[in-house]
Amino acid sequence: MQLIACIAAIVTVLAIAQPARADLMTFQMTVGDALASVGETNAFLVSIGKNARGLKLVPGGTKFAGITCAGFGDVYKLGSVTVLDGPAAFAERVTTKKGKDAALLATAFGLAGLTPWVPPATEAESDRQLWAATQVSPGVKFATESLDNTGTNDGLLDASSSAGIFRFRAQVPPTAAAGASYRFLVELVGRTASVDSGLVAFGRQRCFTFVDLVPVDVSVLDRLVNESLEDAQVRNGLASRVALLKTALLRRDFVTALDIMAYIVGHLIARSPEHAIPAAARRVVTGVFDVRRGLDFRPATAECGNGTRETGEACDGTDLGGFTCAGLGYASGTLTCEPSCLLNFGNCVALPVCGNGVIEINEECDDGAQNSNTAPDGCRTSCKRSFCGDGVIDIFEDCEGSDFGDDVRNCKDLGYEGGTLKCDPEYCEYDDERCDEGD
Amino acid sequence: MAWMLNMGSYGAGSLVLLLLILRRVPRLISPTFLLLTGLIVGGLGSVPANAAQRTFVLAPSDLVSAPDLFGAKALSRSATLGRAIGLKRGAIRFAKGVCPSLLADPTRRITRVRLLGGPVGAPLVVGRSLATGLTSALTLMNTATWLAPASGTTRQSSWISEAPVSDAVGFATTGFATGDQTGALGGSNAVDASPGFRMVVNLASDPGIDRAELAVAVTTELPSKKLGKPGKRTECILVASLEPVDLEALRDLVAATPLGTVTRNRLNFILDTAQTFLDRGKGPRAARNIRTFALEVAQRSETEIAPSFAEAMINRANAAAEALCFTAAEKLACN
Repeated sequence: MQLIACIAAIVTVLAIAQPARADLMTFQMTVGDALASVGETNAFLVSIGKNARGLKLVPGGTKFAGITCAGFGDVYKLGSVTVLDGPAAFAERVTTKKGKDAALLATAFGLAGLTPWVPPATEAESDRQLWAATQVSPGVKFATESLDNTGTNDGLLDASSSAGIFRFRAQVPPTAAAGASYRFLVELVGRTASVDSGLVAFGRQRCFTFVDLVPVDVSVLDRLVNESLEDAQVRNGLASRVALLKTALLRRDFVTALDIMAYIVGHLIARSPEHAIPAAARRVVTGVFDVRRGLDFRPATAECGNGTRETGEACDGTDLGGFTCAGLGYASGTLTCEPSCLLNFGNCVALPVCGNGVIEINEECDDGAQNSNTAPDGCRTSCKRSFCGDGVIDIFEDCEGSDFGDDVRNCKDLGYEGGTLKCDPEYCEYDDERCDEGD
Repeated sequence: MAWMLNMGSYGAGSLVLLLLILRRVPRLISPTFLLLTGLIVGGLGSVPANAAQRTFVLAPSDLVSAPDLFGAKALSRSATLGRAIGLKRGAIRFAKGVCPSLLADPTRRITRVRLLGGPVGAPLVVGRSLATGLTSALTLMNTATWLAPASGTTRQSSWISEAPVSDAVGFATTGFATGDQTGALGGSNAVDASPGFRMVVNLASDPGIDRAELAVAVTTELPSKKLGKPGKRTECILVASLEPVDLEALRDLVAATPLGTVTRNRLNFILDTAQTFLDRGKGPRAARNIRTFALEVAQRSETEIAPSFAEAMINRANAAAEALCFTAAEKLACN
């Protein structure tokens, strides 16, 4: 009986200790995000009133728990950004006044709805020169060597570098809503620029803030499409494109991935507001551009042409990341790497089948049985997208040849006095140059 | 200080009122005196040289987050704002008003919103206690000035547009007069990004592709403590950064984007066509052209238009099209 009780206790402990589901997500924090977080956090600290006991205004910001948050980006240039795992980190990072300041900070930031995550963060990189990422307890630190080097100001960042990126991957719990942001506790350290090669002492300031980040992973876009779009036809159509996008990204076929993303954005614009409410379409379009930003990231250390495939590169020289034509679903052929570090599928041999519902090489679209030569905006039976001149008035076309649609027959129907209405053969729009304005 | 030169439509009455607000006589070299001199000189002018009729929209999420965003911005600029900013009752004081956070206090809700005419116009329409020092505080926050004519439309449930007055475009809950808070906006509306309020104002200075800094008076209410009596009301002034969502904004974006001649001409042609329909009172048809514009940008986004520029144009075009399909009747015509 004792043994059974013991096993039961162990099972119970293991069940309790089982961590909640967490996803490995990719985050990109810009320098602008980091700098803007100072004001946003200061406003938050003010708004929680007595929970930020002792908070005072100082020129350009606040002073709370012995820490002044002011002047980042102008007076104090950014020298390091550390993403911490939560309010518990204050005990380790703030050791003044026998822990009183740390406790004050932990109480205040405990109200901010910070995302719990478990270090280490992986694949931490920055696109800023002279910046490097290191694992620290408890979190990940991005810093420039100039922070402690009085002889140079190189690498220190101000508002003019707001597009700079700090990227990392972290295990985070799933959000309740698709496309929602995660809130990370961040420690910023800045310093004033040195003059006279360090002969004049520089000032230094440290500040704790929080930054809201939306992951740049395609899984977020997948959720957005499935949870935001109500029209089943639009949702299913785009879900299949997102599936193709995932495959393309897995293959590091960035050219195809970009093409699919452009298609998704275009498709949503064409279907909104009739088949996708504008707010939902806007969310999904934002999700596409978030993924796009993830693809654009290039770490400062990456160098196309050094023979090693790095973040943002599909390949480099002979380093093809283990990919082959056959491995990517082609019948045969030889995969190569272009000087721009993109995979070249030109010598891969595929046997595309128009009508099988899969977009293959030389196909612009393939909706399977839905391919049609008469449906507006449909994928044509040649697996080409609808185009001006195909004889069908598509959603954004006014006319095709002599066909002006159901509502318009002549200039008068467009509000003119009279004249001859034509159809622009290039863009399939009304050509009203010969319509008469009247007096 | 370009706005100072564009005060033409404000007459002597405005200046007298301003002098009444600035009860003490300023010293000759003080900032207040210089500001006043600028206003008087500006007041002698006439129609602004670069005035522009611009459209802005506000979603519930914009309004609910506005006090916090403004607080962040004002705190960052506190070094230059001086005594125009401070702490009061656990919130940020701007001029004489306090805008409490709606995200931090879920019981507080917005029942009235007014877009104010700018540093000079704002003090003329808010209460006397709020007006003190408001002109200089708004000026320090680079607040834009707009002139009549202006209009406001709302499609927010249980909200109505207020009768237009000079220097204010207002909206209030239908039960505002009686203290009925039905439809009031609070923390639970923080994710509602669907535009609920549309304002068209004549900006004295064109913001180009940037956001316009607009003065907004926000009235918030606490829940009623006694049956039949309204909850405690507070009005405060904040400055909101809003993007114009109209054809002019798209033109400005096209002009600011590196493009080939053919693409630039094509995009401008679409906007010209939209303008033609708009001029004929066919807003929904113009909205369709704007969506064509967005679609063309999307199709060229990987080849001819850099993604960051494409994203800006697509987002703004979608917002502009939505602003033209705003009311129930417009929406019906757009679908």
